Amino acid sequence: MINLTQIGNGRSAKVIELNGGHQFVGKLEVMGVVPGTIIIKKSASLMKGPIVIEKGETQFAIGYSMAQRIMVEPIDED
Amino acid sequence: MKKIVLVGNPNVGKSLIFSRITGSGAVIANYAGTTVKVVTGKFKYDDHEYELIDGPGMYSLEHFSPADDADLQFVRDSDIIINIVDATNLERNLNLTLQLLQLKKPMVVCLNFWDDTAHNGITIDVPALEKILDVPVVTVSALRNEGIAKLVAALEEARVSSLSYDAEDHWKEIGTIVSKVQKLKHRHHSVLERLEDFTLHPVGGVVTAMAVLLATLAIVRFMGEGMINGLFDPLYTNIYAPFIMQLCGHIPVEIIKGILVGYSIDPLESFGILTSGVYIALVLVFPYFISFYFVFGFLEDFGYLPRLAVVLDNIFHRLGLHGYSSIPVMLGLGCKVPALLSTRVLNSRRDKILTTALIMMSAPCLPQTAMIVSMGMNYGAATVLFIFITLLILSFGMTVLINKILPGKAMEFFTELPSYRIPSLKLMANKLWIRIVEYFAEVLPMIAIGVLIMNILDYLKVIEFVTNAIKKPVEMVLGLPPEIAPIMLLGFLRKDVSIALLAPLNLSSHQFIIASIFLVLYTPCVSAFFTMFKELSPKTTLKLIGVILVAAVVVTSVLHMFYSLIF
Repeated sequence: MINLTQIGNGRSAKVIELNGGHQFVGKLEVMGVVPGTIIIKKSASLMKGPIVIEKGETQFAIGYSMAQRIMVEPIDED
Repeated sequence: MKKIVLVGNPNVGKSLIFSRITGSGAVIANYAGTTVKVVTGKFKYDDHEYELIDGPGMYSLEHFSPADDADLQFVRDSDIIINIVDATNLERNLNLTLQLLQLKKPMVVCLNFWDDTAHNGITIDVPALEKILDVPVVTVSALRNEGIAKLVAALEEARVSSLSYDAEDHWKEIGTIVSKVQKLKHRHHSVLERLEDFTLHPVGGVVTAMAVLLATLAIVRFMGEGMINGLFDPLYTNIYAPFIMQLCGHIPVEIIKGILVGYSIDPLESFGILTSGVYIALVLVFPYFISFYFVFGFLEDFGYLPRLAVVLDNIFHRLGLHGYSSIPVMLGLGCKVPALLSTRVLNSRRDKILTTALIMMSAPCLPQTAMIVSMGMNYGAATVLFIFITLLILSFGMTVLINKILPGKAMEFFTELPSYRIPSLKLMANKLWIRIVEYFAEVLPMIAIGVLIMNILDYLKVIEFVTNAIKKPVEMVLGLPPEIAPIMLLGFLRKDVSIALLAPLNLSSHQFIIASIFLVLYTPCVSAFFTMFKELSPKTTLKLIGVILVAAVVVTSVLHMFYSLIF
């Protein structure tokens, strides 16, 4: 399993697991990110900066260490 | 009177809908017995009067922080809920909608930004959605002022939904609803969307941030000085001051007269509440305060600020903070008062303390900066640069230090990135008005109290005593002439003038550097002082000011020693 920081920018991925406590899961949940959903990794900043994620029509940014705890499965581009 | 409550995610346009329904006359206050700030207003429909309450935006009814259940009291007390939904973000917004439906209160769903759905290639089958949710669904464009009347009329049809589903399948249910009512069409990126990406880009973002910062400082300086020189100062000097002096000149009791108008014509020396207090609050601080909120309000409503936080997060992370603190610090480059007030959005106390330290130490406020630059240029650009670089390095170092001492960890960075939208002038005007009311209600009384205290101390000869007492130590430790002592005391009232008053002292460049750094750091100005008091606890404020003062003394005395030894 790989985490979100390990896939390329602009790639889509399916969320497999969220490795974190109640607060961590909750923050992602309200953005619609739960296991089974598909998200796009829009971009990453230099030097372990925040990662921008797109879920549906919603865009949000999370810290690098938070992104490291989102386990994903990349979706092949067609 | 029925209580109607607006509930929705952040950034869905609740504030604008609120003001479209109620007109003006909104009141912000803490909701009865809680720490939740709500905006309350009234409106009339069909001969009935209603109370409308707008609360803070929320993504969910659940709590992820050890906050009170009291946060939702204003929702529980309501008679009808209007759930404002961002029609361009249906899926995420439905999360809260479904939770609200379970509260089993009469409800109406409002799809805002309806005009944007067409642009974005989104079609929503409203009747179908209405059927599923079992409550009225009204489409609205608050920016275009369309649909508001329909929304208010729909309140009559508000009903308790009979929608039920297994709580376990919450997200599945949302997905099902969305797939039934929403269709997406692929479309090209609009200009604004491309701008969104550009301002987030590692390089584009930094370039934008610097441009925005410089533009903001320029605009605020222009507006601030314009208002001071063009309006407030002439108003004070030519109309208000003579009037007040005449009015109070007849007061027989010396002490009362002294407290009200002080002992001198110069508003900065008189210490009178009606003279110094009014002058500082209205002529000096207010123009900068309002100019800042004007620019800041635009950036906020446009949607730029979260992206700024992302771009700056890297730097701030090394200081133990995160990007969101960059906004208060940036504000602090203009005026410390709005900067300190804006630390309210930071959730953890730890973040507040660290950000406040950075606000107060990283650079002076704009008037003082301008004064240091104009006076300092007489000694050369190198002198000016040295002062500001020293302040920056010191502030970073102190923040890192305080970060290590304070228990706890920095919060994880997490922010939604709303779409860029051209803000409505009405909304900006409303927000500005709220700030103005806030200023007169909160900041002005504090300044008055500060001036009153100075007045009493002056009357009791305490100021004279302290001035004389510090002359010798200042000379020995900092290498500055004794005339600087009264200037230090004046700096509490007005920071930029304290720099200007250095002129007749004929300081060497080294002395000027030491004096400037000290006068920037040693104490906040009276307005900032009391604002800090309000935002952090009095104890924390005094501790923080004490720490910064110690740092100021240490740095300046080290510089003094360095200069004496080497030169």
